[in-house]
Amino acid sequence: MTAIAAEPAVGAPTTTALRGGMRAAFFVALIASIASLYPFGSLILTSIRPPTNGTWFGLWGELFTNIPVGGYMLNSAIVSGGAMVLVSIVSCMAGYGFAKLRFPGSNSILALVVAGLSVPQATTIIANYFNFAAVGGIGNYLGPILMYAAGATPFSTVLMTNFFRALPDELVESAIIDGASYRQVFLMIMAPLAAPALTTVAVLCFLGSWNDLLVALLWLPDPGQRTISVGIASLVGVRSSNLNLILTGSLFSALPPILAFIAFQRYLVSGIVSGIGK
Amino acid sequence: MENCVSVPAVDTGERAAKQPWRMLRSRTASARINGVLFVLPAVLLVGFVMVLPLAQALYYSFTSWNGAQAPVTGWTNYLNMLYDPELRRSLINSLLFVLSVPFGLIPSFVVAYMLHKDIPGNRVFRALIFAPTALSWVVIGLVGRQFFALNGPFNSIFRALGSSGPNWLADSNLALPAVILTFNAAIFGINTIIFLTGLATVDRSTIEAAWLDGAKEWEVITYVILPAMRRFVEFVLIVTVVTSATGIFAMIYVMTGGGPGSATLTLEFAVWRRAFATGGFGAGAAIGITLMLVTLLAIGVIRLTLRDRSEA
Repeated sequence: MTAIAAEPAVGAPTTTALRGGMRAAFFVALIASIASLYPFGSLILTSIRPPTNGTWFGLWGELFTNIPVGGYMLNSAIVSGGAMVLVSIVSCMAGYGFAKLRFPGSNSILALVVAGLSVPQATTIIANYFNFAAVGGIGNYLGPILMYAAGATPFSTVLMTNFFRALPDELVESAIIDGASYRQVFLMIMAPLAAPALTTVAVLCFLGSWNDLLVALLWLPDPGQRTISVGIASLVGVRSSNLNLILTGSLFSALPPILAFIAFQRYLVSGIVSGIGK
Repeated sequence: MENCVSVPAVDTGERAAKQPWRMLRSRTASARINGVLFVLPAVLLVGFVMVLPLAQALYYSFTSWNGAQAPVTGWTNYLNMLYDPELRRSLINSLLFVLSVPFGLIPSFVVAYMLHKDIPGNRVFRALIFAPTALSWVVIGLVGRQFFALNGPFNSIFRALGSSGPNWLADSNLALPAVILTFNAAIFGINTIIFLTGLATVDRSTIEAAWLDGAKEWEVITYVILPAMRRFVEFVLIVTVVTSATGIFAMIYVMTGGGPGSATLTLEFAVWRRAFATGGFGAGAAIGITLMLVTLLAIGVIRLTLRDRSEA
């Protein structure tokens, strides 16, 4: 199931055709793994070690007492969750439409949506900011939700379209002949079948939205609406002398993505490399 | 959303059942109408949040828009990319970021290659190397800030040698290398895993044949493995280059804020600084368009380079 696991061929002595240098390979892998643990080890140690004139876990106490991290987390959950749900619905519908209900020009429109992949967020951020400001989208959770969902739409639509294209057309046709509507086919047959691909779309969108800084910084200027990323990043200006407290906060902010990452790891790799054609 | 798609859909089902000879034609028409309706939300999102703002940005890049007025100034903003020292610096810094990517990918490929050999603990190593991918650029930037701090872990090497070590992020010559190094360290894990996925797709009998022909290890890598996983190399290069140019605002924001001065200012960060910190929205739009052109150019160069090699 996982794209990263190369299953051994039946009867093959090894899973790989590579040879030799096993000891060197082991040590290289070991060093790389230890280095990869550095950010986690450093964050955990920094956060639990006593600060100057403090006690063990004192920084966690200070974090929860002095900084409204709970509210920040809730704000992050609202915008990331909203974007995740929206992009899942939108890309699932679009994937079904582009793959199974082709209309004149549908391939060109798909190409246009895909072209969105090469438009950097920074290129459109100014115009977007003023457009959203004009319709009350600044200082409103809906603003970042739409920004994140739109940002994730090109990739997610490609992923869903490829997924639906791999399903046989007869699946739709036979249901339509039996009297089902295209909407029923979508809700009863296609969307449930797409659950694995949708999970990938949802998790990638959640991680991207949770970890965003720029949009949340500009779209939610009210301190009460700050996301956890903005809340932590803003401390750099205010409390830059207390980097250890900021690092503790950043570790706290990373907990939901880390949990999502552990739970959905296999969907991530397959999703990320799905853009690579065969 | 659901209401508008249900009307023609239900209609088709009934008509098709009553008049089978019309079934095929009306079904095609209904499928088309439904197709349009199903893709509409995605098209609207991309249209209003990407296509329209891109066109607006293009227009504003030729003006000195300050948020209220936008007098047309022609190519001034683009010429400033070369004449304005800060913007020239940001252009150079972004190019240096992009140019660092191929070098940053070497350790990823080497480790992926090593992991692809059947070493003990393979799965554990993979999981550990992939793990930092879960961390956001805010977290990575903060860890980098601590790592390169005056009294930080990196300077412990210098302390062991009896010197105090430089203040990396406050030094206008050393800050950029430190930030670029942090970026490349952060994308090491995900790229290693993508290379591993690519290695798993290489036909093992081709490699076996090369061994039988007496090929050396570096020959197998250069002439068999890398060409066979060309698509993965291209993918990793493009995604990493695009990320380095357009996806690390947050890391720079918490690590250096673009400073000291403009030492670590990238095009992406300059958009924010010019537009939202000083109100130069026309200039910011031009920086954003330049950023997109640089990114597209880099993608083009990668595609052409890899294509030539595979045909040669």
